[in-house]
Amino acid sequence: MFGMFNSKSLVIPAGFVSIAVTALLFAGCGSEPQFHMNAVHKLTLETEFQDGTPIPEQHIQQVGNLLTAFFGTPDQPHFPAGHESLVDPERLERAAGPVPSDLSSGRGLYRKHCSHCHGISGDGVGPTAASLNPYPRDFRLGKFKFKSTKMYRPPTDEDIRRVLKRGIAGTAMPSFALLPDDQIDALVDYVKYLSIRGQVERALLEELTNLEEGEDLLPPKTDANQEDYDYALELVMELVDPILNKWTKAETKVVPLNGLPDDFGQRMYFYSDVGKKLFFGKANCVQCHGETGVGDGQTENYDDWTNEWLKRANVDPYKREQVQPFLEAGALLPRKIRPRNLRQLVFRGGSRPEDLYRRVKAGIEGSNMPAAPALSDAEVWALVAYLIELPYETFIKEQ
Amino acid sequence: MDRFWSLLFLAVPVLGLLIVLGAVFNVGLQNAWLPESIGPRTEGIDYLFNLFHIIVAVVFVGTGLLLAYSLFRFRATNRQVASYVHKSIWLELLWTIIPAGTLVFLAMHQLPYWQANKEDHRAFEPAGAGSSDLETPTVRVVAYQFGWRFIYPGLDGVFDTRDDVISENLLVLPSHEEIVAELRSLDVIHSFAINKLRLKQDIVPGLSPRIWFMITQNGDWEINCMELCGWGHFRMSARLRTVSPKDFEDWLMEIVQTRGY
Amino acid sequence: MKSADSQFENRESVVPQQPGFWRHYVFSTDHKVIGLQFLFSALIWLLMGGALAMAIRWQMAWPWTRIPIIGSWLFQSEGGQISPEFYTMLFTMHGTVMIFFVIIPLLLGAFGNYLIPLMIGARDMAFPKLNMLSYWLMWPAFISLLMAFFAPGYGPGAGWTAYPPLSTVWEASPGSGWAQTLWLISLLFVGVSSILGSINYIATILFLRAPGLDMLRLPMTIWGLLITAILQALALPVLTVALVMQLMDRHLGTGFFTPDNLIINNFETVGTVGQPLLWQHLFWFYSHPAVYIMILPIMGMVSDILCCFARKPLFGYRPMVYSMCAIAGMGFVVWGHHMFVSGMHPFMGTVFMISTMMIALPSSVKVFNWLATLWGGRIHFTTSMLFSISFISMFIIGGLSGIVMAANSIDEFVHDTYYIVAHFHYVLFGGTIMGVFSALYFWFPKMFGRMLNETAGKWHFLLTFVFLNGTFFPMHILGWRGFPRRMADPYFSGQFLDLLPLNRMITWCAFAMAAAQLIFIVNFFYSMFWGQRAGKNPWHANTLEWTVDSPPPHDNFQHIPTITRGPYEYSNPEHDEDYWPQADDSAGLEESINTPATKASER
Repeated sequence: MFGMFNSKSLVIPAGFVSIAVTALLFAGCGSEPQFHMNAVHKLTLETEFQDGTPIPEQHIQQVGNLLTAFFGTPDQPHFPAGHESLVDPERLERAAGPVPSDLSSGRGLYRKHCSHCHGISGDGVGPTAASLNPYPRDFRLGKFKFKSTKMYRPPTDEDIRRVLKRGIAGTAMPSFALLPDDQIDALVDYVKYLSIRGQVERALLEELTNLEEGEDLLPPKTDANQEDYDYALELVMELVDPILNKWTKAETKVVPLNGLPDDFGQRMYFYSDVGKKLFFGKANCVQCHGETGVGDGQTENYDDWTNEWLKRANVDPYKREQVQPFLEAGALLPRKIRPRNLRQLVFRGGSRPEDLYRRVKAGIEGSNMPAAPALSDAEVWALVAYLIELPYETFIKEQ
Repeated sequence: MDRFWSLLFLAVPVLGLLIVLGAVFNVGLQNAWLPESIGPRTEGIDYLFNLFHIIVAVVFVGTGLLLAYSLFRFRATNRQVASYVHKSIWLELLWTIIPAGTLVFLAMHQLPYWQANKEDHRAFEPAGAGSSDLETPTVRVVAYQFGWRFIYPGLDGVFDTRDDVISENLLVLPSHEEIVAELRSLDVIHSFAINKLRLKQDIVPGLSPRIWFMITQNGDWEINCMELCGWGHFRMSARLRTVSPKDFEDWLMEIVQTRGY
Repeated sequence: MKSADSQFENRESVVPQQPGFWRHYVFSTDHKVIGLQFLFSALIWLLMGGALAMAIRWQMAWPWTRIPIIGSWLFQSEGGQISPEFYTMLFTMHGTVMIFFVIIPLLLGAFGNYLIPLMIGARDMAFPKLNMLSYWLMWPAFISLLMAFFAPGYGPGAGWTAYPPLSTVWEASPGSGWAQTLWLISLLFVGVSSILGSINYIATILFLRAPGLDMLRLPMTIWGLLITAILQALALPVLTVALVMQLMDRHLGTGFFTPDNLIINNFETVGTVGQPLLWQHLFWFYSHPAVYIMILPIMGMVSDILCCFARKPLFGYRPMVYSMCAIAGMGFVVWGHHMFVSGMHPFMGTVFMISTMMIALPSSVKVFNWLATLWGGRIHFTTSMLFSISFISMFIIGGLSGIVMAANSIDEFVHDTYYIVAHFHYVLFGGTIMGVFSALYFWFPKMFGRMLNETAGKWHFLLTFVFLNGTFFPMHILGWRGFPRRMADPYFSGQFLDLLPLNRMITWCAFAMAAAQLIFIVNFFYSMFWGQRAGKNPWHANTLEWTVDSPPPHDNFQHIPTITRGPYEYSNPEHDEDYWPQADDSAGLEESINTPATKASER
């Protein structure tokens, strides 16, 4: 045979190299991901209350320990005992942890579907986040925009479920309607879990700024200081309990759909005309949403998630050197929000009249959309009628 | 060793054929051939798919066997000298004309199916005709990153009026009725695809292509985006639900009424 | 022609100075050095592209689990889980690297440069400095593509086809920012490099052939390279222009490809009145001929290698040449089959369907001619021959699935599914890369003066061949089910969850195939330094490159040979040996008698 000569010796080292490299491929040294500390909030507090003096590392450590004690880790989450009705531990377990290789098991749901935008810790700065407009939601403030409850009240389960199923048209939030219901339920509970955990973290961090010199948030437990320890724990629980209670009571704070006129459906044109007058007059929607409703009235504001550190730490968003430390701590570049373009046919929080009613009546938490306590129910419904009519109203945009 | 190599190349057509047959007749391979069909649209495409694969399989196995056989028969350990042959005009003609005939047959044979699915329909806009000649679509599909919006003309049957019914990521359609859908994109190129109808139509922004199809089963199916549209491309799927025409009317009326019209 | 010859006579008197290291190995104008430079850069990029493919396969088999190595390096805080835009980068870069940095530079840059002057009896390319420039223009391309990996968004994510508006609008995707711009710049450099190269090849082949070497005495390799160069010279300017237009859309505010009033990621395009379909037409007007650019040279090389190891003349030389010309000509009128479902007029779909069906004809003529070449031969199963035979075997599969997809009704179903992926991997991996391996095993002795180890080579072949089919054949099954390509998680909706085991099997085969390439890498470098010495003509081949030393000296030939016969005079009964070199006067042929190959054939 042509050019054939035996050199088995070559095959053997080649085989070894193959095995070695293959082994290296699968060796992937694994370390469990951890919840990230809310470094932006820490920096904000330091700037706001302590003129930039860092919070002692030991205190941060104590907050971390407390959080782990209350909420566990991303791979093994748990929830403060006695609140199973709020967050079901079984659902929590299904949503948490890494994506398993058995895809049909329906586990690791949060990291499979959510974490690349919302982040492992629910901080809204996953790998994809920076390029999205609007940014993915940071759950840790406990603020949710599209909900049925009153301002400053957590959303109900059904609200979160609805957002997951519908997606939010006009943002990068996709619809998860094709997931089975039990998976959606698990995700709802995990979102609540992350949100509550974030709120507790913030509360504990804020508490740190109140501590006296040499004082501990929760001293190490020894036999000698049993009383001190119990007292400190009680203080901590005083911070935690209101947050949990708020979430427990969310269902009772739903904005009722009052005062729907009986002839609302039949006399849309009439109500819409009334609404139009309100739009330009008493309700003063025009100030932000603009004369044509395309959302060009007020475009200089930031949302609460940005104002949280921008305003509190008194940062000038146009000064790079002031912004930079916060970016390094994990904040996203401040981006102004635009009032909704009301002519785009679709509203982010839903286009049903009841959705629009609640948006107008209770406002949109976190954005600059205020509640409308001055408007009567009938006036709100009239505005709703106008909003339904608006996308089809012809207009000439004034230049 | 030479025989081993001939056998190796013999394995290609033999194993290949076995896998294809296994897939077609569900032996050893479950659900490996075409997905189930939910409408008459698939009949022609499935027929062509099978026909083409039969012809292709014959050629594949034939050439594969010929290759393996000539490797086996003309291996160097078996022969002293190679034959000195340059050409044969008759053979060249033979293997030009037969494939040419087959290809022309295939091309012509599948033309009517393309026409039936793409051209022969009152929803298709022939060159020069104004859009007013077209019938109103059953539904307007608006694709965006990363979701689908389905707009029905509502009770008055006219789009862009306030009784339009909007459904996000859920397309409800009556079964056993011909559906004409107009596709639009808000941002980048998407593709409206229903696997079980063998239907796929890219939605290039600026164009509004139309598709038509009929579904003859009630149930839930998937709509996928099949053209890369960004990082969330894989998420861009929607639910397609077919119900009886009466249920469809009810569903539409229910939405219309809750909207207050 | 006369003048060109006399030019060479003049050059003969000029004894080249012994150049220094830099001039000899780095900034050389010698076509052989440039060829090897292309070869090594392309092989390094082949490793890179292969690594990207492995990451893709990982995600298809174990979606969202920690990717080995990358996971602990890039996505530490996310538990090593990649993000979707990273996945879009993976397949975008895999396609780009493999096509523009591996296959085209390997075929035209490496083998084209190395073989053309040697096989046509010339001392160098027609424009040696231009040749050097065409290699050094690859470096800005390499660098900007590497930079694109590190741009925000992990790199371009619009697919190697870069369809606007996804690619033109900065906000459309995480990778549509600087990464996309760098990608465009990179391709621009590749394009210019290839245009320069192809002009050089055309000029060299047309005007620098040795006396007596008629066009119809050219080896098929040279025919393949010539037609490819012509294809490239005609098609590439279109792509280059399109790339410039896309750059202008992105940076100068023009609107060739971007329609008005789009709202992408809450960014509104205003005042541009372009059409994305224009890009698709321009892009595929290049990229379909590019498919033939990526296969025609290999078809030529495989023809030569088959004849050499079957010890038999090529069956039907003229039909082979004509069918290559036909493929090249028709290759320009079939681009629309990439756009059957794009929304262009259905009548155009019919036209492109018919032309696409017809382009299968010359390909099938070639396959039958190869089979007839083997028939009646005396087949030696060297590694090179095995790779060449597997080229035919794999090309048949790739070509036949091409016929299925050419039917536009069927394409409507399989478009953007794994059926397409299976098809073009059978053509480009099973065909082109297997052919490249064949050519490497064949011409390695000429390039480095030493033989590649045959035992290791056969293991390399066997494992590659088995796992190649294990990887790509099941992809047809995925395609029959409509399994979509380019999706980070196709199992998202549960629709394709039952295809997960098959995907895992494919992934294992892909890993095994990648591991098999390690044998080749070891063999390559081992043989380069310690392999058996090759001598001038280890394979007893006819073409001109085998009449000079291995590796050939600077300026190749001591005397420009005079050609008296065609390249395929194997087993001619009028001649004692079973081969009959194209040139009679080559002084050194007797030296090859003592090569191991000759001994082996005497056994």
